[in-house]
Amino acid sequence: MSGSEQLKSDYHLLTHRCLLIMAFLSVIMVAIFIIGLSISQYPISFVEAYQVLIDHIMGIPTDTYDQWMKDEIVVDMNLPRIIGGISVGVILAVGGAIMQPVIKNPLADPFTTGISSGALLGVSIYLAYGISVIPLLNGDAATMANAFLFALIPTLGIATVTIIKKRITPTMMILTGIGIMYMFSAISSLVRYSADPDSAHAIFSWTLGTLGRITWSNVSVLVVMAAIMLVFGFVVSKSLNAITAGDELSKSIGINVKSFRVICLIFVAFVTAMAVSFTGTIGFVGLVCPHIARMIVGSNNRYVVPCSALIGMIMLVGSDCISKLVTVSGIPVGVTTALIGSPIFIYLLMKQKNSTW
Amino acid sequence: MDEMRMTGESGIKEAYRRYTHKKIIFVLCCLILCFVAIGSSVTVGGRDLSILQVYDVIYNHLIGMQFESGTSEWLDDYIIWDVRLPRALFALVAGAGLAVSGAAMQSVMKNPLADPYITGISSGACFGVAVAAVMGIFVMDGTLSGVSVFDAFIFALIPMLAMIFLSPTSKSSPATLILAGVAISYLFNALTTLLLSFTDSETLATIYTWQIGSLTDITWGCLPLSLIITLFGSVTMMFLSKKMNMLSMSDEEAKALGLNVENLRVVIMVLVSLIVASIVAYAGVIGFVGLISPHIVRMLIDSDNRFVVPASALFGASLLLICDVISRMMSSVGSVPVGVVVSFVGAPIFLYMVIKQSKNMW
Repeated sequence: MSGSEQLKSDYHLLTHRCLLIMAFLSVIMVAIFIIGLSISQYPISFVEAYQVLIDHIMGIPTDTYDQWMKDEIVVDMNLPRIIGGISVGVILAVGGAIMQPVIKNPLADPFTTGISSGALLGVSIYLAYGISVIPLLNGDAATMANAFLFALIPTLGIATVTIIKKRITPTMMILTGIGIMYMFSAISSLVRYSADPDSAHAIFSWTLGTLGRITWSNVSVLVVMAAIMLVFGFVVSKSLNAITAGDELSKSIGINVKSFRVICLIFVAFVTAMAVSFTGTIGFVGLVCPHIARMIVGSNNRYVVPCSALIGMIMLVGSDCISKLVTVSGIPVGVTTALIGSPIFIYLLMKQKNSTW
Repeated sequence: MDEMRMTGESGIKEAYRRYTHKKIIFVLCCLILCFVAIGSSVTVGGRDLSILQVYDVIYNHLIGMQFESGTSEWLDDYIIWDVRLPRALFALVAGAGLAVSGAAMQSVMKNPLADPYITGISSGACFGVAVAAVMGIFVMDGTLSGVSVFDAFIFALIPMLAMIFLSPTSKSSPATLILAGVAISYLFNALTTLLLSFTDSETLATIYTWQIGSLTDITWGCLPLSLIITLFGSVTMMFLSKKMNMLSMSDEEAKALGLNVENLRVVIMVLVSLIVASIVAYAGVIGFVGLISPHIVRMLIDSDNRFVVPASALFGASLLLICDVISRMMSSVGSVPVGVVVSFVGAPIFLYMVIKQSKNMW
């Protein structure tokens, strides 16, 4: 009796701790949001930014060119970029948090199924040869459509192989994806090789990953996707716990392990491909955030999912603000994330007492 | 009773002999494949020479025959001896080195997704080359300059030093080591991207070529360093292969059997880093060979590292040699880098094997 009470109070303590950590992370996120609104390449002060925002909401017309400019920067550039950054952070981090247990590999991230190589191929053939999968599209729309559709091909390949084969381990699934991925990368390399230097440069810039292409017209898609991803993460988190404990055990409590894996892979691929087509490949966030989350809240996926979502937002939006501050042209956010994130991550790895893997 | 035990024992021996027999035959097949690949590699090219002529030329060179410059014999001698042979030998060394490194990394890190570059070697080397490129000393007379080779080699070893430094504090869990390596490689990639965003399109194109991996600029001068390191590393790993087998158990069990797990991991990592750095510095990042060769070998002969290590070396060498031949057949000027061909040839084979495979290796 006392044993079970002890267990209960331990569990409550743990839950309590996780909730506290998440509350703390949320506060940081809100702070970054508030500060981030005023950060851009242009000199707009913190107070001014809110003045502009309030004016805009109240519908006060801008009289001078200066005011109009500031309105444009704060409301039409910074705000959608931050909201988009939050959404992309959630998508990548939760995607990683789902993929790692599903594939049983600490190296898994949302791109493990070959999404980035697929997207790159789609973008390359458009930028180099002007081939658009969906006819009649051109410009950015065609690039995005190509990226999205090609990004899904490797995952569909994995799903097909998984369905054909009776018994397949998650590793074999991923190795299938890697085979397809290398083939796609090879084709992309050839395309880039044969393209003129300027197209090659355009392809290179696309690979960097940026939040700069997010505007009011496309941010809503990202927000919806992020919300769906988060809900999906919560729904599957219990099954993820089971699958971490072992395939046999999951089967015994009634989870169809194989179809669960395929559903998770396809879902994560779909949402990530959506994000990638807007931002390009932003690495690191999806790999590292779930690990950091696991280091601080333990390996219960019910907490890992929301916690890594928060860390993902903080990391991506924070890095984006910093990269906007540092240079005028703006370092690509993927670079800043890795530059700031890697040392922190290595430090945390050294500090952790026992490996969660 | 005694007799029964005897037959039981000899039965096991017989079974074991059959078990090793198949593997030894596979290794021998790979060896033959390797020889055929070298033969075809020195034969194929713009100048049409039969395989017998080729060996004639090599023999003549070895016995010290001199030709007057400008004659067709002299040209044959030059093409075979100074262009094709170093390239073929380097492909052999690189393929073997990468595949052995991949096999060792996968078993030591207990992760099937590990490849020789997983600890950040390639991104370190890339950064080194980018530094050389931005400083403007990347290309001299159309070939890689000594400085960039030196840079690549040195920077490729930095992640290794970091890992050695980290390993005592990481409790040596393989997942932690790998993650640290991945973080380091992200760091270097970010730095490289940062450097590259300040350069022009032309330099960018050159660095791209380097990143894909190419054997076009290989000369005799490239061979000694990588040959010595790869030979030394591979032989050492052959000796360590029994211990690597023990790592397939849990770390605790391996320790109970008297294996110093932490030290073995660090030793293997150092060997892999040296081998791969010596290859990457000259040929760029040739991917895929190191990842798939050990997997294909394991699918064919199971995961006993005593056979997986040599078989991967021979298989990787043959794969790279054959792909190099194909890349030269596709275009004589080297516009299709060997790294691309490896993916084109290797990926379908690999996929086919994964799909056909009835047992799951990992």
